[in-house]
Amino acid sequence: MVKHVLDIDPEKCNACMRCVFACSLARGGVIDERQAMITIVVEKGVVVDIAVCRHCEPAPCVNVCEFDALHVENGRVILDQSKCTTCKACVSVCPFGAIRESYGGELVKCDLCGGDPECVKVCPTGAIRYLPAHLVKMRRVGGATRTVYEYLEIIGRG
Amino acid sequence: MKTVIIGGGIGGLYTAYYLVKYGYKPSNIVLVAAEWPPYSKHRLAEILGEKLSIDYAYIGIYNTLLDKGVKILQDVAIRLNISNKTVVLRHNGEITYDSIVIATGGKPFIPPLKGTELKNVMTFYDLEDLKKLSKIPRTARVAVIGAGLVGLSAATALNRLGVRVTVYELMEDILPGVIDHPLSTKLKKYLVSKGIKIRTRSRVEGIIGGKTAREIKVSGRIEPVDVVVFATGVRPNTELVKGSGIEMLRGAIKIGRNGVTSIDGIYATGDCALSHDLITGKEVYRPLGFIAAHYARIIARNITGTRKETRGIVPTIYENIGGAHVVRVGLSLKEAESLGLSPTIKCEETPSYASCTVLQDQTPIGYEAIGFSNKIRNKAWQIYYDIHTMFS
Ligand SMILES: Cc1cc2nc3c(=O)[nH]c(=O)nc-3n(C[C@H](O)[C@H](O)[C@H](O)COP(=O)(O)OP(=O)(O)OC[C@H]3O[C@@H](n4cnc5c(N)ncnc54)[C@H](O)[C@@H]3O)c2cc1C
Ligand code: SF4
Ligand code: SF4
Repeated sequence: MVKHVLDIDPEKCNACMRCVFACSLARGGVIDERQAMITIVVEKGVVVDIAVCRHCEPAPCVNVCEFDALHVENGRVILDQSKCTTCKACVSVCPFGAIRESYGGELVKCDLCGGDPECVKVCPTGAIRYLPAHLVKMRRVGGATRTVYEYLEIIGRG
Repeated sequence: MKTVIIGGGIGGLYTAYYLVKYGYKPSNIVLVAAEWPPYSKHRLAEILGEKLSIDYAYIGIYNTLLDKGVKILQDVAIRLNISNKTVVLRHNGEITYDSIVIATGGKPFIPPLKGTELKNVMTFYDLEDLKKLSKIPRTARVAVIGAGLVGLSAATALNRLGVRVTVYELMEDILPGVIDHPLSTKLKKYLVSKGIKIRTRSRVEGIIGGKTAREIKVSGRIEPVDVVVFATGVRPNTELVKGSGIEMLRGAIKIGRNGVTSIDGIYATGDCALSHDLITGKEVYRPLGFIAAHYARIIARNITGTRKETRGIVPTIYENIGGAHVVRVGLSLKEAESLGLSPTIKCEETPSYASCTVLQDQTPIGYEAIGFSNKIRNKAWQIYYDIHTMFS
């Protein structure tokens, strides 16, 4: 199967929070922002970002984790809670602010719901879409193509 | 072949984990741990600030290791006999080894001052400290000594609980080992706005009281206090190997790039040992969890027969300090200077974000940033890759 990832368009987001709640429901069975793996970043009343994992290739987070707690499975970057010590090295290098602290320092990140992301189903505006990875340009980082970096530069959020 | 690991902290636990992962027979691994089950110090501040159960601190993989047959001895190693390859334990007698991994960690450093033995003078280092700090009444006045990552994490957690906190720092800036002046100033302003008092360039000279601490003497002034928390750094805990002939430097165990000490078959990792800085190649003392795990992996590779050497460490630090996101990758200006480089720094900022790049001869060797909304996008990752490409 072709690798699919989330494609994000903050401009379309109206901060209805449906994706956040759907995510926390899927993950913890409750509606609780702290448990969601997706964050709507609002500054001065304006949505400036939707922080969620892009399943980068190569993934900086996987490269830095010394605890074997992050690995790639079917093109998805997965965090294994049982091995994570919350050293937060991965948080320091994630280009998208996609790894979040939940309760007690436990870290959470998007696992694409095993390939059928709940957030996409509830987003009414198309701000989050689930697309074949090659169509989501800013996914590649490192190596010869620096597209994540360029992307960050272009939108001025570096 | 039998491997004995001394210490059940991050370094010891992950050495056992990687040994099993790389095919070493679990029943040939003995982990001697004074504290058990293993936990992560990295979560202490969150648990404190959110009033959560200490269960959140435990690291999940220990059950897997037990199931696989790794032998755990809840015991303390008291003597190492290198000539006959044995180690003496307090309760379980003498055990033999083919390889031994010293992962005895560190101990909090408290400066030699008057009054540090008083009740209500403590550190923020382990589960016992967490339990004590959790019981502090809200009305207490707490003095945190040291504005490093540990001190500021403790201070912001206590502030969250409504406790009155003053942080005393000897240096001009807070987080002196982590970020440089321009960002430090911003962080200080932010924390002050949250109600934390911060006194930089303040030398703590002693603690005054009868049985319990009542006052603290700082740069000649006396101030009332109910609890004093020392967060003045970590020193290697190397009692076990002192006088053994293993080569040390300023109290820490010297290791090669393969994790081996000056004596064959004896390895060391974590807060008891030195590590290698990737950019300068120098040996440094950096008591950080991910470094303990880095060498744990290298050591496990070497014990299981794959020769492996580290290229060295590029620090990758993130901390949420009371809502401020602090990032540091590579070297800070000050650390680079202390390692003999002559770096420059270039900073830029937006209202909610500020970052600096540290350069040596135009080449980035470090990046530090601080953000005040939950927007924590930055280019730390790129500098991380650049450093690896440039210096490896
Ligand atoms: C509050 C706090 C927050 C931190 N946050 C971070 C962070 O976010 N990221 C990060 O990377 N690092 C962080 N650190 C640093 C990190 O916790 C340490 O670097 C890490 O714990 C070192 O692991 P270690 O195995 O070397 O030592 P330790 O974890 O200290 O473990 C050593 C163990 O060995 C045992 N031991 C000692 N001597 C003996 C003996 N003779 N016999 C048997 N057992 C013995 C000790 O009881 C202890 O359990 C933090 C530290 C503190 C205090
Ligand atoms: S670096 Fe961040 S965005 Fe990229 S795979 Fe890791 S968590 Fe996801
Ligand atoms: S915080 Fe957890 S997942 Fe991230 S690098 Fe550290 S151990 Fe790995």
